[in-house]
Amino acid sequence: MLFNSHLFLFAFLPGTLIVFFLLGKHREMAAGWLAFSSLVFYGYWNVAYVPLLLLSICVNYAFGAAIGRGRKKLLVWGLAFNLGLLGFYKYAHFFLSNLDRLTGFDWQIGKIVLPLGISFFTFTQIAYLLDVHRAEAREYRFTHYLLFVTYFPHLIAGPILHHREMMPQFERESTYVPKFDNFSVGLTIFFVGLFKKVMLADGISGYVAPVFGAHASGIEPTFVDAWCGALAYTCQLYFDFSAYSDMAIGISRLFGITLPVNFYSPYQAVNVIEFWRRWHMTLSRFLRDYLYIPLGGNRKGKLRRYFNLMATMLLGGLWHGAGWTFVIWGGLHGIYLAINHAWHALKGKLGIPDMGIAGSFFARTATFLSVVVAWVFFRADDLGSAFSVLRGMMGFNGVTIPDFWLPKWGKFGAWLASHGAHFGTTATPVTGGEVNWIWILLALAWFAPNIYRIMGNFEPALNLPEEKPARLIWQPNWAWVVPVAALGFFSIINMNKESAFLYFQF
Amino acid sequence: MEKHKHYVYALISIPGLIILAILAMNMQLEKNDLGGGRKAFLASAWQDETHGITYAPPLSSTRLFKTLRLNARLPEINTVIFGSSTAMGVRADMFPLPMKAYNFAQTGNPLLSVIGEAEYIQAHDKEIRNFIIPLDWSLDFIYMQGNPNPADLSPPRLEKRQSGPPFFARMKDALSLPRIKNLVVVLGGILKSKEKWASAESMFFEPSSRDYRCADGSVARDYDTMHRGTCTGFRYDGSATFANLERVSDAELPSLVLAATIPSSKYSMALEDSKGEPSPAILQALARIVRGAKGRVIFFLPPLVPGMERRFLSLPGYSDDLKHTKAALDAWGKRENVVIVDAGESEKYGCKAEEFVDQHHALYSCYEKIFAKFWKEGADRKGIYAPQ
Repeated sequence: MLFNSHLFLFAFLPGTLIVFFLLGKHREMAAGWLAFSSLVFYGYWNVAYVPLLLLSICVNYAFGAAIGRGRKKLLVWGLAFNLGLLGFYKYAHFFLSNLDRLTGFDWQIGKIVLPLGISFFTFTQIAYLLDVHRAEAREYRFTHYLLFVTYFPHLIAGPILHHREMMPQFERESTYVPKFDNFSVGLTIFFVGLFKKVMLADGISGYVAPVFGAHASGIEPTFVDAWCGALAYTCQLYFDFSAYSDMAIGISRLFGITLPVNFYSPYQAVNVIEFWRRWHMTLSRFLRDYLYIPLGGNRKGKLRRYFNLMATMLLGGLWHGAGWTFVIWGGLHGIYLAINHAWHALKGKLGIPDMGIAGSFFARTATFLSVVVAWVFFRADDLGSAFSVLRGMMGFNGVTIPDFWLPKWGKFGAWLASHGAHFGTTATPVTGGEVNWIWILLALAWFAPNIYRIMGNFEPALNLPEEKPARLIWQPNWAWVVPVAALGFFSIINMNKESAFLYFQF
Repeated sequence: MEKHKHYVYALISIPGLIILAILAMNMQLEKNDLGGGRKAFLASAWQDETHGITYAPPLSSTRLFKTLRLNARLPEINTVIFGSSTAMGVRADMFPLPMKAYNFAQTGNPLLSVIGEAEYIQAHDKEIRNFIIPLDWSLDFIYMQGNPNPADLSPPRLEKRQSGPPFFARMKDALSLPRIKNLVVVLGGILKSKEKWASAESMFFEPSSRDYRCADGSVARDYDTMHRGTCTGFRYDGSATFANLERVSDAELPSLVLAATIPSSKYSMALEDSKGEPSPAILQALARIVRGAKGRVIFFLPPLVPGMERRFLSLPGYSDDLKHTKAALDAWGKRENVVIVDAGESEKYGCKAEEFVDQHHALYSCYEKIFAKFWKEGADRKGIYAPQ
């Protein structure tokens, strides 16, 4: 079931919410109801994978209990179970196809459908087992554990929750009492997220596939096409993931549960280190706490630090999908981070001062462009398509301005044409509408304050970065209710497409 | 806390009430739609009785209504005008007696389908002696590969009322943007109307508007909720009024011509892809129709907005292809002893920009000039006819 569907909005969400609070006096039953509803939410997509999810939860809970009682060696088996599950469902095909290529064999397995959200619920539980092993987690009630893993706002595409943040909230009595401040904050964040998904991300999505699919059709995208395609995807992914994160946090808040922030204006980052502190923040935290630091982090010398960074980002890339494009995407970010750390070290050593506004502008632009280049690999179906788009972006496939812009540009177009600009047919026609979408969305991503800054006075999410509050501060009053209601209304009447979130595939 | 409470109530009730109102109105409009093409039957029966202007929704799908009308008119006509929307501006009064015509042109109807329709009429309706057929090069129709599509133009029957989609699906549809846009138009029409209550009543509770008069004195009735009171639709002779569409202005003409002649336009691509070679299968099928006709067969290249074809003829990439098309059609027409009225350069007939709604849809007044000139100068020609 999608957050941006009529069924969810008008039936599932209100139904679940009303029953949850009706059962509120019996906390265990209310938590059980929420867990059951979450399983229905998950099963609506494919009921066949509900048993798999339940198996994963039961096995991990049992391992956690046993490890917590001192059988520490079971951790290895617990990790093996989780990685085995993930490996089978997500990486078996990738592994075998590469093995076949290397050895010349033809080993095959049948079609495996990737269970939705498997990467998310597996990582959530790996973290739990590791923390139990470190004696940083205690044994929880099964109902709460079940709810912690299945909790529907986060189950399919994050945020990746940490038991330390969630379990106290599930145990808290006040969670089960309806509160208007939670409803007002939750609904506002939800409507903003819904608008981002339905109007912004889906609005730009139509242009992405033709550009990234051009190579497979024997067409090489030219300069304008390639840049528009790459930037359109950059915007689509941004607003799609931002939307999902907002909607998850907003929905959860309706139930009185505050989720950790997962997305915090990442395109406003002035370097790649900061980018990763703003993009998919809960995954970054997981990779840092459960991979980078156990590998040694920055404690074992500079060279080892760069190796650890690279290993972490390569595995982070592979977490997103079983394909070389994801590995290269992760590798690129590993290189970016290494360069970034090296530059910081050099800057400190040579005493180079910050360059003020101009420097900040340059840094932000360079960071953004690096991220865009990496997104090309992230989006492309294969390496051939990725390199084709990149060649186009560098002008190697020719620089042609779509000819139907010529009449629209009037005298300016005629002047350009008379001064050597080449107007002609392009493989994937870029309309003026798409170009306008791109710059409007980029302006929003670069300059607009995010909803967490705007709602900063009402603790909209956990782990928010410390930043100056936005000039625009949300208050529960008429000045805010009208625009937020308008966002909700326009989103609902545009919901007939019901497109899935991009992060569902991971 | 009170502030939050009021905020939540307002946040839910503002969009909630609007959505409920939209749902109620759109579901009532849907109920009023009747389904199964019933409106086409009602509209056709009304036109039979009044000879007025009407159409059945949606305007983009005209086949059922036009087939009903053709069958109703068969006893009194001997000429059928075929084609797509480009030919809808042709009226019966452009043809001298004893030709009595009905314009059977339908939206998006390519030449391959037209041939099937003409073959059906030749086989089944012996009274139809004359055939007026457009040969669109600009929409690629004359170049299309493949064989003619057989047609069945027997009188359509009313479909049995079928159970519609489930309630939830209808609710979703009622809340969709296209339906809401339609509702806004409907409500706008009601607000503009002098008799608002009567207008609202007919929109929501009656299958059609009441009868009203158009500027030319014709009576009209709207069976759709779109374009009400604008005399949009088809006249008794099957020609379209195009009353819902804006006319091309002199100011926008240059950019319209430029947009039509750039390489990625559909017109340019029609020439580019075909190299101007008419489909041999189409010409053969048309020749069979010519030979089987008991009266006249007149072909015409539909008019294009002034200056458009001349620009194509001046562009090195397309000039030869277009000339080749015309030379091939000229040779074919002479061989088959038929005339092909070349109205592509509509300015040669005195057509103006304001007589078009876009690059290739000409209004009645432009066609009137074209056929007036043709009957005066070119009626006896064979092959391509165009004024010098």
